[in-house]
Amino acid sequence: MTNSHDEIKFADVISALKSLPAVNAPENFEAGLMRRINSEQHRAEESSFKKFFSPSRLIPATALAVSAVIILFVLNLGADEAENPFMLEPPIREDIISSSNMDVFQLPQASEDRSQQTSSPRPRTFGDSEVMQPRSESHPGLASSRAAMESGYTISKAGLDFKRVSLNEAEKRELNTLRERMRTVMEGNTR
Amino acid sequence: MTDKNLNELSDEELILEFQQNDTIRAFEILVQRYKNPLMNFVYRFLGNYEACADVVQETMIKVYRYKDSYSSIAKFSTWIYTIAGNLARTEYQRRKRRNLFSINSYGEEQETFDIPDNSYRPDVITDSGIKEKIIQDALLKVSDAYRDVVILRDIQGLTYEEIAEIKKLNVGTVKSRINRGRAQLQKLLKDIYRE
Repeated sequence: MTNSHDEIKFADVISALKSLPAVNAPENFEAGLMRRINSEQHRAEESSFKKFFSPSRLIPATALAVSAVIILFVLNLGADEAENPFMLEPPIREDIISSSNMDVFQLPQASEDRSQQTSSPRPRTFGDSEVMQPRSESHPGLASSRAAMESGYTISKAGLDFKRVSLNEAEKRELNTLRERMRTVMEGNTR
Repeated sequence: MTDKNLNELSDEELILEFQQNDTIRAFEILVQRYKNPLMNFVYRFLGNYEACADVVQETMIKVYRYKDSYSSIAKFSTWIYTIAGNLARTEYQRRKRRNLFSINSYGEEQETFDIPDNSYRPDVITDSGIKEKIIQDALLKVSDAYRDVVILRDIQGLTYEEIAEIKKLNVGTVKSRINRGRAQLQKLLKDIYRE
């Protein structure tokens, strides 16, 4: 009903549009169409071959491959020369050994050492000087260091950049065990 | 399958034959059936015969190349009209941009002009051709969104449902657009009705 109402309302427009002559395809429409289809097929086949072997693709691909080889070569050279950081000797900081004000190593007697360990209120750490104290004068290295210390040389801890580690109880026990074992080994060597 | 048998098949059966067996003859029959209706539709939308022939050829090439994308749940006519309509709209926008660019490159101000199309048209020769030219020119002035639905309804004679399927709109919207397009056209053609 509404449609027919609209079509009555616009009857003049509809009749004007219907009076337009039909436009037909040109005579050679099918021939032109098949020619275009065939040429597009040919172009598609050609382009798939050219897609992989055209200079516009080959040149960047070659450049990429060559640069990848160069990068790998350079990285490989670097890998040979690189040192394993875990195998490096720690650097000797001779520049910070001074005879000035900081912690002076007073080489205690071995008997005193044990009593100090038990009575000292200061918490012991891995880097503490006590750990470094020699146990026997008869060891040539220790004797020389003792001599150096007695002559007034001190080791300053201020400039040392070692890591200070706070040990828990289990680690302290393990460290003490190792220390005892070390001591017995060193005493065994001196005898 | 013989040529006679193929001619008796429906559009949907022909495209199925082309999809399944790659029968070029089935495609050729479809081209024969649709080349003139599509030329008429696209010409009335674009107003340029050569551009229209190119668009219809492009439509047929798309049907050939993307035959497998046709689903048998839709009517073949709506599928091919959808392709042609999309290509015609793209071509119309391209031509409009090109015309605007060529005018603006000469003008000092950003002013646009209507350019008479002097390419070949089948309707410029006879006296009645003058009236046809006026109608065609008026049709080209109708908004793009309304023009194609008016052509599909009042020139191509498609149903509202078919147009709704082609345009992927609901029937109510299609009817509304057709009436708005007709109203615009009526306003543009009022001088013709007075004669």
